[in-house]
Amino acid sequence: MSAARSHKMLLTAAGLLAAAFFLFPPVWATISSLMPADRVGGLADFSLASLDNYREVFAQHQFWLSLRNSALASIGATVASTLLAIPAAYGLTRFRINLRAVALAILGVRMVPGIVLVLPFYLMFRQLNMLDTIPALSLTYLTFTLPFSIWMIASFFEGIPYDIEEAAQLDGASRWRVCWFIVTPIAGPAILSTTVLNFIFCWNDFLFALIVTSQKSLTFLPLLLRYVLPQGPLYGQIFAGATIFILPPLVALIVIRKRLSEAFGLDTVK
Amino acid sequence: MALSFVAPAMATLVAIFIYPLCYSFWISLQRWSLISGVRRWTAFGNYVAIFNDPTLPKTLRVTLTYSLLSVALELGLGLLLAFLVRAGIRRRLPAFPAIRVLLMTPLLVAPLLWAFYFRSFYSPQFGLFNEALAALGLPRPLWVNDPHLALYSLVIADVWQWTPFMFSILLSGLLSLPGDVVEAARVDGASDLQIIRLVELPMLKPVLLVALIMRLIDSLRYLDLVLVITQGGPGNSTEILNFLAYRTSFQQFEVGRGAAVAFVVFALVMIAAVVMLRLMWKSAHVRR
Repeated sequence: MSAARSHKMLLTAAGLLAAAFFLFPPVWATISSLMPADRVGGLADFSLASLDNYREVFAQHQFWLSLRNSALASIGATVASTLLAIPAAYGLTRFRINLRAVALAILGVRMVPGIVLVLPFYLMFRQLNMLDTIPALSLTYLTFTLPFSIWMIASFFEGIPYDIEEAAQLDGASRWRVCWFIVTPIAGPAILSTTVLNFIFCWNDFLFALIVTSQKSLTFLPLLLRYVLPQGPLYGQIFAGATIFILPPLVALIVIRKRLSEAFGLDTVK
Repeated sequence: MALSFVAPAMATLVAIFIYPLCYSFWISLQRWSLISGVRRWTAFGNYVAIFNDPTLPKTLRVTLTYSLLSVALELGLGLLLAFLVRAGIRRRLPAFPAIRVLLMTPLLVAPLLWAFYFRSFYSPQFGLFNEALAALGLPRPLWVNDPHLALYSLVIADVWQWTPFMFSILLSGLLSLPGDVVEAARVDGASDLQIIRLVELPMLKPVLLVALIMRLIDSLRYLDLVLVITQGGPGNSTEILNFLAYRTSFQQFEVGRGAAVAFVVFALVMIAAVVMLRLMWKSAHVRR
């Protein structure tokens, strides 16, 4: 074997080993979810594998309800922030507003810890009788989805040459029409990727949901805390639920993978 | 004209971000317990009490150790991985596009789930780590139940999830470096290591600092691992500032004091960000 070839094989082996290492925790938890309750978490014994934990979780009404709530709150926040961010991004890029200042403002928003906001949200929603409702939860998610959407969509719009829309304006189209029917479709794939990323951020939120929802609007992640009993967590059911919970973001990401690489230049090889 | 496009988003942000932020600060100026219902104005009394608390130095030390140590390890490992994967992509080895995607999967997992994974792995008797160590005949540490080890156990879990974040940003940065400068250095007879150290790392610095800022900010605001695994214990060996804010507001229901602690977290994040931004601008000026 030549030195170059063994070098290549060494490189591939190192890469695969690294990937296996970082994939290990979720993969192990999924394997673990197939073990009987008292074996979950330790070394696996495949002769004992069964779907018992899944049956147990699937039989619980609250489990399905919490997934539905996670989905509704995330979709609500994602759609609202996209609809608000598109005109905002258009305004910011087409009327010569200093984007650097906007970027700094958005970094500033990101610096505020969730714990600072969640307390006033709790008190405000309590007063408005909106605690434990999906719209209230979606509103709290807008605090991080909206700045992210504005920032991403503005940077896509910035790359769209101005003369495309000048022609339309000469034909008498209003700025609003230009924004929604000319500029937005051009940036469509990129906007879709931003939307999917926002959905995943909301789907994975825990702190806002923990404080704002409690029963009928409780989402999946705070629900998991109720699987922690005084004698310890019910790992079997937690990991079985987690396996189902990871599927939507995984599928969404696979679906938009190609678009994502176009939007963020992930495939550039120089 | 521009205003009518931007106004709806701005109005929303004022209602759900600026207003709660101010409301939160106003709460922090009061002594307010949701249990007893006692509520009175104390001006900066909560802040004074926080800074006079004899446990504050320990809390700050734990917070900074946790954040700085995990972010530093993530940076080092992420950089190493980025160079490794770039080497594979450059040689067009068939496995590497897949390796690149697989290396990012931890970022998809909700931090709370990650915390549950590691709570189970660290379990002293039946946890995966100790069962594996026992099978190899090695001593079994107490991990998160040992006050000297608990913080470092959390750092391991943090590094395991977030190194891929550093990796993916640094790899994108590496792949977009202009090739001609590196070529020129090679023609001048620079070795691979020299090129990395003297050419590529300096050029990568802006991307590197952005990645560092984002990770540092997020790490100081992070809560999930402590909340699920240690609840600040054993003793107060893992009580990071952000968890103290959570505990004060939502376990002791002293919301005035809790809001004040939350603003101290915010101040800490801002200090960290300003220091990093300074570094970034400085390096940008040196390069021109």
